[in-house]
Amino acid sequence: MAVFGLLVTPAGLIRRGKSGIGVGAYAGLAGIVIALVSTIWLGFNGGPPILFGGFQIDLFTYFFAGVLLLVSLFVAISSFDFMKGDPNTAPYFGLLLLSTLGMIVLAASMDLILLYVGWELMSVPTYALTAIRKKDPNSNEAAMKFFVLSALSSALIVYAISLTFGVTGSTNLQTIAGSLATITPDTRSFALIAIVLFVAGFGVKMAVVPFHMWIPDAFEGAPTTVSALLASGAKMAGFAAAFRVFIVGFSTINVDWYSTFAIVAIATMTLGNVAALMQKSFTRLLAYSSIAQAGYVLIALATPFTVTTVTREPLGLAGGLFHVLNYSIVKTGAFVAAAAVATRLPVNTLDSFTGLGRRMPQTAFNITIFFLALAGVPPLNGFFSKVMIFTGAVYSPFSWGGYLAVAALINSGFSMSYYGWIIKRMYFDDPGDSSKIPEPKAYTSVMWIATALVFIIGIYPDPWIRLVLSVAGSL
Amino acid sequence: MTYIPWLIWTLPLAGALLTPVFARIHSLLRDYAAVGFSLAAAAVATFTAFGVPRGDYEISWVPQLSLNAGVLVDPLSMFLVNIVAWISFLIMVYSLQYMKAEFGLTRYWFFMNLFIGNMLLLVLADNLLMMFFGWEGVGLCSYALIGHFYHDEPEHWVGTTGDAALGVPQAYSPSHAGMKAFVMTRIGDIALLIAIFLIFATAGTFNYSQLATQLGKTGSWASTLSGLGLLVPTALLFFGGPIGKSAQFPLQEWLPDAMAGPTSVSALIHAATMVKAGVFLVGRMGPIFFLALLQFNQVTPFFGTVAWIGAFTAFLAATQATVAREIKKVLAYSTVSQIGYMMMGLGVAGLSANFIAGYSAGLLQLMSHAIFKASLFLAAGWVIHATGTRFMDQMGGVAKAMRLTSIAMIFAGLSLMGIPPFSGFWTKDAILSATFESSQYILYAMGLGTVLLTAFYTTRMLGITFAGKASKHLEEPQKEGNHNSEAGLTMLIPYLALAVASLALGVLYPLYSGSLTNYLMGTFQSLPPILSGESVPGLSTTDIILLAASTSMAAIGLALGYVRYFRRAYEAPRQMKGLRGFLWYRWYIDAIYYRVFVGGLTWASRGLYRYIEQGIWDRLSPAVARDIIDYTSASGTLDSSVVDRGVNDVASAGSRLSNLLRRFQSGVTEQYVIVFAIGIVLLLVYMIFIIGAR
Repeated sequence: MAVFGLLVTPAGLIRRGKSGIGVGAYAGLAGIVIALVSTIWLGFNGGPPILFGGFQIDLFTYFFAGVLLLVSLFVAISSFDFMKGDPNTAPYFGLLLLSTLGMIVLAASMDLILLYVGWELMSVPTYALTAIRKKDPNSNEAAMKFFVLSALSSALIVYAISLTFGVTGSTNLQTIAGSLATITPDTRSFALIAIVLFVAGFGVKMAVVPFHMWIPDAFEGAPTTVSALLASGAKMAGFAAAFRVFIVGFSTINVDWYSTFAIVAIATMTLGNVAALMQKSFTRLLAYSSIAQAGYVLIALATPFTVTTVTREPLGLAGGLFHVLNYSIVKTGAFVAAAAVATRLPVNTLDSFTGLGRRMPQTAFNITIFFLALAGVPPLNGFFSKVMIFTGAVYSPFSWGGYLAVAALINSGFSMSYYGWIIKRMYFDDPGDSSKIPEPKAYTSVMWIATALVFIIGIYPDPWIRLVLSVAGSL
Repeated sequence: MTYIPWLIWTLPLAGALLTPVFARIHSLLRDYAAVGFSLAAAAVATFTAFGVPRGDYEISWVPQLSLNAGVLVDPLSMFLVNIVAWISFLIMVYSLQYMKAEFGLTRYWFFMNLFIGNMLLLVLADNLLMMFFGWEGVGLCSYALIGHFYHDEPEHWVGTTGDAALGVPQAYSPSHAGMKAFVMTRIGDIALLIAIFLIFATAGTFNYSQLATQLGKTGSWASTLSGLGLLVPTALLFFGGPIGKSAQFPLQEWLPDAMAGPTSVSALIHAATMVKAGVFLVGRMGPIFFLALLQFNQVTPFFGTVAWIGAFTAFLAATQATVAREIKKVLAYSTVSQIGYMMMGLGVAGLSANFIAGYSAGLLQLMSHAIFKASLFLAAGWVIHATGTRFMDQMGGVAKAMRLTSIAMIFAGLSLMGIPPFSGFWTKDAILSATFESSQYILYAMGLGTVLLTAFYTTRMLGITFAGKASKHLEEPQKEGNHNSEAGLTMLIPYLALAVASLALGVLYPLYSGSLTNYLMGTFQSLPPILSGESVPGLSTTDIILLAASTSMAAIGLALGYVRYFRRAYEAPRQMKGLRGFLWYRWYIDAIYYRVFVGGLTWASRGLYRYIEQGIWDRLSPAVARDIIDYTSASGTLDSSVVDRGVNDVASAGSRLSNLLRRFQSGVTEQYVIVFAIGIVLLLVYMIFIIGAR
């Protein structure tokens, strides 16, 4: 609970510190750092899971809290430059913290009601963040679209919760799991409907096809740092919720509903990768690539466990968690890089990236690393999480697991075409104007930290894999 | 001692990483340090071959997936590592002077060392996964190096400007060529990755020797795959990787255009790294696949494919080389063709009773090709540099000014043709006789025909470039007293040494070939003893007839070329028609690929995107669409009739707002919600009627 206390205090501080722009921002940053450090410390030294009402604070919570706080730290640091001169800096940081708090509540909840509270706490601040540039019509339009779709998803989640309650008589996930194990075929259909509604509801945040349509518009319209938060933070929180609900709650239903995720995963990967190739704007390209990445994590939901004769290993699930971690680092880095470019050049056309290797060498180099990591090129971090996910699919008890893995492999190979295309543009194409562009420290420091993590995890993945395996075991 | 083999591939990588650091200090330090690191790698490679006992030098890497990282020291890896490292070193020395005046040198040295390091990693890796790391690294570096001159100045292009086949331009810029190489080899890589994955999924290991030892046991990966009917498909998918990397049919089209890179890069790609990676991989996994397939009587489909693809590619590329205009392109086609020979040798190994004959012939050909092709490229690089053109018809008669260069090129050329006693003669003959003895007579005939073509195009290249009178292009600078001269020693020594080595290795071949083959056979120590066979075929009457046949074919080709190109002045043909045009446009394969795949993919994905993401709306909700049109036209009329010029600024503000509103109301958000609903309905249908009904 210490984590929450620490987070809330600075959030309150900011409300008071509205007058001084710097004070609020630094207080927010300090809050995140303290929370991150204490999360990591508690994660390593915490004893058995803490139960408190609907909260269950276990290794899973610490893992997601760590990832989400890291994302929000990256976003906060880069915002120092991005929000410079904006009158709304204090509310901006306050909303950022509130939203992060919502995400952590989401990852800590074992009860559907609390989960919903976390969901709204995460979502509402992000609407305001998306529209924080009040005078920019694109920002407003993006916020509007985001809001409509997001409200729809909340409604669906409420409906799914009520259906689940109707079928099982409980909102506690472990109780739900217990009663679903003995479900009769009559009521089973309702449980299956609840699954679909949860998929749709969480799918909006997770960027699952066909619930993804708001994403390219929102990422393009929102301030780029906020896009980073939406693309990494909100999406990962969506996955946290999905992991909790589906793996803990619904895994006991004795039918092969996992194949739903397989279908959705293939659709998501394929559409994301194909559409990404067609984009003319960098943020839209990132948006579609993030949709494609969501497809890989969905594989982990489709085939979370490998079954040998003796044991049930959560290999796919661990791979999914690992990919969540890797993806968050890389995607946040990529959006921060986009923000660095956006403050100097019109980011919405890819022409800005022509010859970027000479104009903004640090940014271009880091984008290259992030893209190679997203494509799963060894020895960068994305490679091992993909290997784990794909291996999990192959060894899954389902006959379609192998096909799923092959589809993912082909997709993964195909994705290299648009990543390579941007890299080519940055390094091999001739810009009309090759003057150097200043690269503020706020962005480059985040990018270099992310790149360092990409390499550290990629070259020595062992401790990280041990971590995600135990997190997956704790679920 | 255990760390020494690791140094071989880590040294060049360290060199690459240090290059930017050294560049800060001094540009000379950067250049010499880069060369120094590659020399160190070569020295360690030789020391390892002689001084380190063979074995698997492993460390734990990812225990959770029971993955180990390891360096495998065995005859095959040592043989190849020494070729790669030493030739790379000579090319690096050559680069010192060759690249002197170019831009982007830090990048150049960085990627050269990275390239060499990755290639050495690929060869030394003891498991498929690490091998794949190197494999991808090599691909990435080749992309960067082929596109080195990314400013795309016309003199760095490849192909004749303005030339087009089937409406597809046949001249490529360096950055395009780099991309093409990357994308095309990537197709093979995906197939390879799927195969590696299938093997891992059934065997639970990536390690070569574990894969081999598992074969002896019941329930091995091979029997699992065979039970699924996937053993031959897996092997063929696996072969996809080498097809891409080694530029074999149908993925051969990237290599001729890869000439857009600096010549030293071409030399590295053709002689030491990249294209040899595919041959090596077939050499590494070939015996394992052979044993696996043998258990289930499925040897012929796989090795037959390898041999046929090799033979066909050898012939295809040799025909194209006979009409090429650029000196580097002749050499590029020739590489494709020669690699085809190697593949044929490796394929034939599996088709005959004597596995080792074809196998060692393929690998020895790799060695002799590496040496003479490096020499040819480096010498050609100087010729291009000195004459200022890449087209042979703009050269002519340059032998007078550069005696040593022309001697080097003629030596290496004779080796390429397969004229005794050069090394190319022996190794090529070994492949051909292995083919003949395995009773693959059609393949043998194709190989023999290719010998004739090879001798012809090599003589043609030498004739047009070195013999006769200087072309118009060269006359003017010569009148001004600006004669072509010999290359500086830093450049001359590497290619001259390689040419002499090609001769020496040929003269000494009878002395060392037996023991080298025996050494290479040591690779199979850990495998079951099915692969033995007589290592050195004795010189029987058949062998003498075969030797005579291939030599006379080469002699005929040489004579034809000599009469046509040495004795007569060369006139570049004006038009490319009939057979000449067919060969000139590479049998139209390249153009068809662009049309079908590049055009088709663009078309299909654009269409997909448009229909799924955008177009579908108008179909699903025609009413909504009509409303939008009505609304838009109505507001348009309103705007023009009501708002007059006097309130212009109000109007512009208003129209900005209405634009915003229109985008809201144009139904975009509505459409999103409709998709959303359709998605839920489809999932519900699936869940309840398909899953729930079970």
